[in-house]
This record gives sequence, C-alpha cells and structure tokens, in this order.
Amino acid sequence: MKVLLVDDQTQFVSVLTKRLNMRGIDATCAFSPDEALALSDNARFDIAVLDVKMPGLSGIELRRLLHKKNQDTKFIFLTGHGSEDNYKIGSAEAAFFLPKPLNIEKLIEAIRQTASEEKPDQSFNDER
Amino acid sequence: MEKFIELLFEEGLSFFGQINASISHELKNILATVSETSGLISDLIEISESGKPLDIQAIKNSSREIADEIQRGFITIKQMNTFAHSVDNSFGEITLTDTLDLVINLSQFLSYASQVEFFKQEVGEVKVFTCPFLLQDLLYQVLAFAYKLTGHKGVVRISLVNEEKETTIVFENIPLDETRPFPEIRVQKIADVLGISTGILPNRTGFFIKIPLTLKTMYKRGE
Repeated sequence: MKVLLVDDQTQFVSVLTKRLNMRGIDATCAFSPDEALALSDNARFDIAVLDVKMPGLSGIELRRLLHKKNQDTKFIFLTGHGSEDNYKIGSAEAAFFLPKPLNIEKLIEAIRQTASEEKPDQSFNDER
Repeated sequence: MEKFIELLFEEGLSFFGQINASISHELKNILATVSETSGLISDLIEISESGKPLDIQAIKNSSREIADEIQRGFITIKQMNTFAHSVDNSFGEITLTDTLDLVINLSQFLSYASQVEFFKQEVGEVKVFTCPFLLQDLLYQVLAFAYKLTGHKGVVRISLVNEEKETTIVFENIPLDETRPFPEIRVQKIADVLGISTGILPNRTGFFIKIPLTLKTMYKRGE
C-alpha cells in the first residue's frame, strides 16, 4: 500500500512520513499541491492524505485533480481549521476528516480502514 | 458616528472572527509540528530501548525543530496580542508603518497570500489619528484583494509616500483584472467612514489608498 501525504507545513509532513515509514507504511510526502501532482504522474498511490488549506490549491481542489489521474486513490483530509464548510465538503469527499494536531495511531487506523473500504468510525470525524 | 458604529458591528465582528480563525489555524499547525516531532523523539527512544543505538543527531535535530516552532508560536501570539489590543480605544494615534507591519504579518496566514516587499526605510514615522481597528480591517481586505490578483507565487510591493496633505500607501506589482474592480464594496464602506480615498495607479501596476490630513496625520520625519 502506497500513501502520499501532502502539506505545506514541511517539518510536520516530513516527520509524519518518517514516523509512518518506521511503522512499516510505504509513505511519501509532498510539500505542495504541484509537487503532489508531479509525484502522482510517476506513481500510483492507494491513499492520499491531504491538508485542506495549502497555498495555491486547497486540499479539496487537489483531491479532484488527483482523482482524475488515478480513480482508485482514496482520500483522507487533515485540517487545522475546522471550518463548517470545509468539514461538510471534506466529509462528503473523503473517508476521514482528521483534525490537527494529529494522533498518529488514529491516522494509521484511518489509513487501514480507508484501504479496506470500511465505513468510517464517526469518532475519528467528530472532533473539530 | 452612527455610520461608524454600524460599520463596527457589521464588518468589525466579521474581521475579528476572520483573524481569530487564521491565528488559531496557525497555532494548530505549530502544535501539530511540535506534537509530531516530539512523537519522533519518543519513537527513537523506544527503538533504542530495543537494543539499537540511539540516533543522537536525529534527537538534536528534533529538539532544534521544536525550539524553532515554539519561537514561531511566540511570534504568532505576540501578533495576536497586538491585534487584540487594537480594540482598546475606538480612536487613537497609531504609527502607520507598525500597523502595516502587523497587518502584513496577519495576512500572511492566508493560504493564498503572496509575498510582500514593504519599502518603509524612505519614510519617517507617520502618526495617524484614526480608528485603529477599522484601519487594520481596511488594510487587511486590500492586501487580501491584492493577493487574490497576484497569486501565491507573486510579490506585492508596498511603499508609503508622504505628501503635504496626505499619506499615500501604494500597492504595486499587481496584475489588475477588469472583472474585479478595486476597491471592493467592503473596502469602500470602511474607506468612506475613515475619510480615506482609493484609486488605481496611473500606470495600472496596482492601486493606492490615501489617508488625508483630516485624520490629523502628523509627520515626524527623521525621529
């Protein structure tokens, strides 16, 4: 299973990727939507974990572009904002909508459930 | 006065909420980074407890990153505090360059923010007697508008021109769009109340706002 993490908070996403790798998950990170799109030209990701608020393109817009490149990719959104609009759109378009700061064990569980297409446990989604 | 109070309720609360939300987003990002980095330190220690050598360099790097994020947090909280105190008095004297510095910093939390070059060395200290909160609101909305036109990879250039009867804040290097006229309604409403005039630069490289002497502008050049 290949996981792509996209966030403009470079230290955050680098360390998160490293920690996922340490737990046996094949994760790669991108620091911008442009970089994520370039990476997805050369690799097929099973799951993309996207920050909602990024310069240039929101995570929700990026999801649409990544979905065009690979319709099998599933999505998880991260947010530090918790705006009602983002939450509603995000919940409709992704399996999970996780708040920052993140609990890595919850992220791993979300990745596993998303990969196996289990229905989201709302306890992951209800914290805004 | 009635118009002023109406505007404070109508626009001011919305602006206060907007800034509050963007600062809380920034603080959450900082906490998320601190949380992940400290989590990495715990992971490295756990690995070392199972017999592998402790990666001292990785611990040092993580510790430095946490210190950097804490510093970023302090700066953000200082900006939040300065902004919060801008409502202490409905009217008061502000230093225009300080207000612009604060608003530029706050506007940089916008996801679509362009870079900003603020040329303030050439001007002296410009004091303005105004409603500090509404002036911040106006400057923030003007910057947000400029960023939307310039894009997050562009650079907005800001300069001040002190003239006999007014101070002009010039926003340049902005690709104007005829379908999105300047100023927007919200900016125009605040400008009307504060007696500020606005316009497009003659060479169409951006726009300006003029703060007139009627706001009791005093120049203290060279101080």
